[in-house]
Amino acid sequence: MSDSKPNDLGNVSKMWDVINLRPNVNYQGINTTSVPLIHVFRGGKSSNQQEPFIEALNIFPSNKIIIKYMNVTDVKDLNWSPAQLVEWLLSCDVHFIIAHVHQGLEPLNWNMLELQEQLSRLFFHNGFPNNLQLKCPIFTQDKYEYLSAVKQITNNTLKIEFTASGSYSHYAADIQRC
Amino acid sequence: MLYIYFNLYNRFLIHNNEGHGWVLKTPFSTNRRHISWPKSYEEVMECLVAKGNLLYGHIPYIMLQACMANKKEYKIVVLNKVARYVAYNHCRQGKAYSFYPHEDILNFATHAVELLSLNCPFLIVDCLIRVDIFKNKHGNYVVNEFESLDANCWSSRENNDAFITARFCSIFWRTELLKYIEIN
Repeated sequence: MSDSKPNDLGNVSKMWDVINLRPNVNYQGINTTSVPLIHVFRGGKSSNQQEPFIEALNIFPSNKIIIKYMNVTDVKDLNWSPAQLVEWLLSCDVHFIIAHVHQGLEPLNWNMLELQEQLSRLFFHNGFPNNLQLKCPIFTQDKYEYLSAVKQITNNTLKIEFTASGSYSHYAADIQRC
Repeated sequence: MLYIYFNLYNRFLIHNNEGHGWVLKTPFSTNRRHISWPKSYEEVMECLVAKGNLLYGHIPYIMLQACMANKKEYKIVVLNKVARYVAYNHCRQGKAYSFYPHEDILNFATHAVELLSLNCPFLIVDCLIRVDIFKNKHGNYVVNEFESLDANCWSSRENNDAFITARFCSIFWRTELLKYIEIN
C-alpha cells in the first residue's frame, strides 16, 4: 500500500524542465518585461550568419533589447529534444534561427519529421522564420522537395523511403523520382 | 531480362548511368554526412539496407543519384534572386568548365532560383541562396543542391564579393528585426 496522498505528483517524471514563457526577471540590470527579449539559435560555433546578424543588431541601443543565444553545443550539453528547443524559442518576444537547425545536432539522433512538426509551432510567433517560411525546403533542407521543384534542370533522383522492415521492394509505390 | 528492366532500381541505374557509379545521400544533412558511393546495383542495395538500419526513425528517406563523371562543382552565390559570383570551393576534383566572368553558369543559377521560386510558393527568396552546380555527361548544367543559412560564400577572387554578401545578409537581418522591434 502506497503512502502517497491523492494528487501527489511526486512520482510523475518530468518530461523536461519547465521554461517560463516570459520570465519577469532582471537581466543585467534591465527589466525584461519592458524590453524585447530575443532568442537566437545560431547553429555551430562558426555560424556563417552570426557576424551579419550581430552587425544588424548594432542599430539597437544595447539597453533596448536583450539577446540570448543558443548554439549546437548548448543543445547537445542540455540533451534537449526538438520540443525543448522550440519551447525555448517560444519563450521570448522574437525568435531567430540563423542556421540550419539539424546541422551539428546529429549526435542527438533527432527525428527530422518531429523537428519539423515542432518548428511549425513557431508559425504565429514573431521572428524568423515564422508562418509559411517554416515550410521553405531550403531552410528545412528537404532536398528531394526542392530538387523535384526544379526537376527539369537537376540530376534524375530516386527517393527511397526508409521502412521499418528494412526491405526495399523493387516495385514499391513509395519510391518517387524526379 | 524483362525482370531486370521492371526492377525499378535497375531501370533507374540503366537510364541514368554516368559511368562512375552512384551516390546515396540523405536529406536534412550537410557536410557530406551519411553519403556513400556504391559502384554497382548490388552495392546500392547493400548500402540502402545499411543506411536504413542506421537512419530509420531519424530521417524519412534517402536519395539515389548518378555520380558525376566530372566532379567539378561550382557554388554560385545568389542574392535576392540574382546570381552574383562563384564562391571558393576547396574541393579541387574534376575538370573546369566555367571561366571568369562565368556568365553562362551565373545565368543558369539565376534561372534555377527563378524556377524554384515558381514551384515552391514558400521559398524564402529574398535572402542568400547558394546553388551548387555540376555538368553532366551530356554537357548540361544540373543543380546538385541549394543552401542558404549555413552556406560558405567565400570568394575565390581578390575583390569585395564576400564583403557584399556579408553586407547583404546584415541588411536582411536588420529588415527582419525591424519588422518586430522598434528602434526607439
